Amino acid sequence: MLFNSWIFWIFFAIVLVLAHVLPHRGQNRMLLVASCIFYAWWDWRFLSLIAISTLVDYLAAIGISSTGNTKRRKIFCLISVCVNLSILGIFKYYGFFAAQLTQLFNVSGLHVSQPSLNIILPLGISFYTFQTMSYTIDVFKGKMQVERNLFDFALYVSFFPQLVAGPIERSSRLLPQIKQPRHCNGHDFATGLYLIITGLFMKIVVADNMAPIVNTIFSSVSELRGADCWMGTYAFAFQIYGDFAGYSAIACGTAKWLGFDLMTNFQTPYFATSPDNFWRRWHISLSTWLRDYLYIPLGGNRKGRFATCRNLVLTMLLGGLWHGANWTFAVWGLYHGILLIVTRPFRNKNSSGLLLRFLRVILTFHLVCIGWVIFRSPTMAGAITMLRLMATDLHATPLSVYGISLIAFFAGPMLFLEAWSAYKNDSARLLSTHWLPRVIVYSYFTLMIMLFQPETSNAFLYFRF
Amino acid sequence: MHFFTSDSNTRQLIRQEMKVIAITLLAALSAEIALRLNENNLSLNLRHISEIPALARQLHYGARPRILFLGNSYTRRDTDLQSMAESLKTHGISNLNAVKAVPDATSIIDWHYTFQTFFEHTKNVPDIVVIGFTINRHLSDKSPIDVRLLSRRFCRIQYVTEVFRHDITDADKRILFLLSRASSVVGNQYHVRQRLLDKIIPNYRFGAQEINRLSRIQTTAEQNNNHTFTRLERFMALMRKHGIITVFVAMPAPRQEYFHPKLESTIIESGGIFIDCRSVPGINSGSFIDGCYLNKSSAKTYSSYLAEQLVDIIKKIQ
Repeated sequence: MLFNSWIFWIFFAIVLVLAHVLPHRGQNRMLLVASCIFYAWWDWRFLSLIAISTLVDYLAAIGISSTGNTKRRKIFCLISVCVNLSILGIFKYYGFFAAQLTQLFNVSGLHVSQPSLNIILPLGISFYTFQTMSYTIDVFKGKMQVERNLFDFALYVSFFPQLVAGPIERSSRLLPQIKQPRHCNGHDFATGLYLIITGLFMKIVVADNMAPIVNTIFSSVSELRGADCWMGTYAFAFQIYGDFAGYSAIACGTAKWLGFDLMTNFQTPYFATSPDNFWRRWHISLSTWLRDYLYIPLGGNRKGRFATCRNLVLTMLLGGLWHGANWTFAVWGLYHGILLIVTRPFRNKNSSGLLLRFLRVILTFHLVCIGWVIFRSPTMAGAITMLRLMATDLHATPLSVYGISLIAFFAGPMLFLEAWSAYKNDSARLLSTHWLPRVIVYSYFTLMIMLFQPETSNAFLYFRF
Repeated sequence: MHFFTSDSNTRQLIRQEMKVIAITLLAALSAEIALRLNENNLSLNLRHISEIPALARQLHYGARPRILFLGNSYTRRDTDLQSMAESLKTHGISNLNAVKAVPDATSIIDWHYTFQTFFEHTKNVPDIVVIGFTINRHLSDKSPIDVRLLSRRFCRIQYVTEVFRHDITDADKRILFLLSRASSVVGNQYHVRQRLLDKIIPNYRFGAQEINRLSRIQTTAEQNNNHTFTRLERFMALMRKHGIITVFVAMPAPRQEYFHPKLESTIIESGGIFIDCRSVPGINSGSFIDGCYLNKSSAKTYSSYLAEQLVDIIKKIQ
């Protein structure tokens, strides 16, 4: 069930009506059932994985809280981490690592054949395993009280607006909202509406219209000029942003209407002034997760320059691999790790002038785009060819003019709205204005959604991560 | 307990948002009315579709045999009725009563409902139906269904159970089908989109063609031969019900596709006639303009050749 499908909105309307009529306890049970239906719509068999993850973390946390013995607490925490990482490892990384190992053996003269297992990647597995793991680790660290109500905990793991593509919610944020009676006030309704309309616009109009260009450019590099590759890269930059930020916005919007406040996952990332600043604005729930559960436990920036650099690279490398089992993701993570190290001395430099700020935004955007080439290319060889063309052949072509015009037409209004929000330092600036600008923006977005939905609607990109 | 809080601030905010929603819906409604008034002028293709009922009547009131050419842009561009009439004349068939119902980018499923809606329902049933195709997909179950066009243009609402039973089984697409039926904006979205982009985006046609060309290179390599032909069988059952002679013509194409063995056998076993015009004397790879359609003289050559293949069939009816 996709957010950009009619069936989802019928489903959501039913959920909303039920949420309105049921008491708090009933709401929680209903939301749990609705979340199961939402997930089962894709493949009911994989509900068992969510159930395993939920049960293991529920019991592990109770185990941790029931003993003061540090060793036993550690064992319970390790069980949770191992089970979650094993699920992730088997379903997401088995094929990749098996292929790499087989290749390694073959290169060293030991001829082995790769055991073939045709494993489907369960939807949203990386999101919910990280979410449940964070809960157990927080209980272990004493940052979080143990949750003894299995149904409420199950709802925390499987809450449908953010189940398959985040935001990866911390238990300290979401569980109290599940436990407390919820209400939807006028501001929540207005914010939810704003998030849903902008989210649908970002997904349907921006991301889905970029998809045919991106798919074609990244699979036909040998036929292209450098300017075409730049155009394809820009298109991907807006496709992945529109897709993922659009999903997150709809998730937050629908949750708002259900009385929940999910964390903001994107904050105008293409207006970042440095790579470090970019990661504070892009997929915030993952970057803060990696910071809190990987970077800081590794030592963060407290153990000298070398250790800081090592920790940054390691965190970004694993962050890259989180996206999928492919060398391109690992190299993309590595690239961002190196970028963070190289630009670290400049990150706190104040760019007070508008021009300087603008130049930093442009530079950061292009550094991010180079990363997107690595991220999106099917192979590293393809990425290198594309980057070589982008560096050596910059003559405009009719195809690049066409593509850039399409990007400007579809993504331009979204960027304009974001620039305004960024300038006013308020991510939902439109909500605090007179109602007339809102009417203009909503009417424009609605008409664009109605008229410019591409023939083939694409599933959300981050579903596969 | 109320889920929506009912304080005065909330009431005021919700009232304001309701006003915003109402005006937004009004804007959408205005677009709907504007489009309904100009629906048939959005493209030449839509105008052609709107003319099909008149073509059906013209065919019905003309002399026998009544020949209906069903197809897509290949048949529209490459089948020249004038050349066919001249060629038939030399074989003693003086009057060719034929019309072409050839909307762009259509396949067997669209032709099925086009026939039902415009010919069967209005009792303007032809004697012979000639279907031109160039690739397996035009006749196989693999051809993608343009839900909006099928719903808005080719299908009467009374066929909805048939459509939902056989052709559109996905819940989301079923909703889109019903919405396309009810709304001109939804149903004609593709045409509005194309027209607007053509006006706004520089090099739009070139760019779109280039993207299509590059993606075709990809998909050609990925194509497989797992074709099934249940839609074709259903179409043939419809033809048999009305005693119509159905002729399938494999048309000339710049790249000759390997036809699935089941394609020809399905046609023949279900009572159709298969005519292979892929290799017409005088037509070669240089006969095609823009890599798709025949040039004018080659279209005449092909049409004359096709007419000769149809002589016996037409004479049988006469």
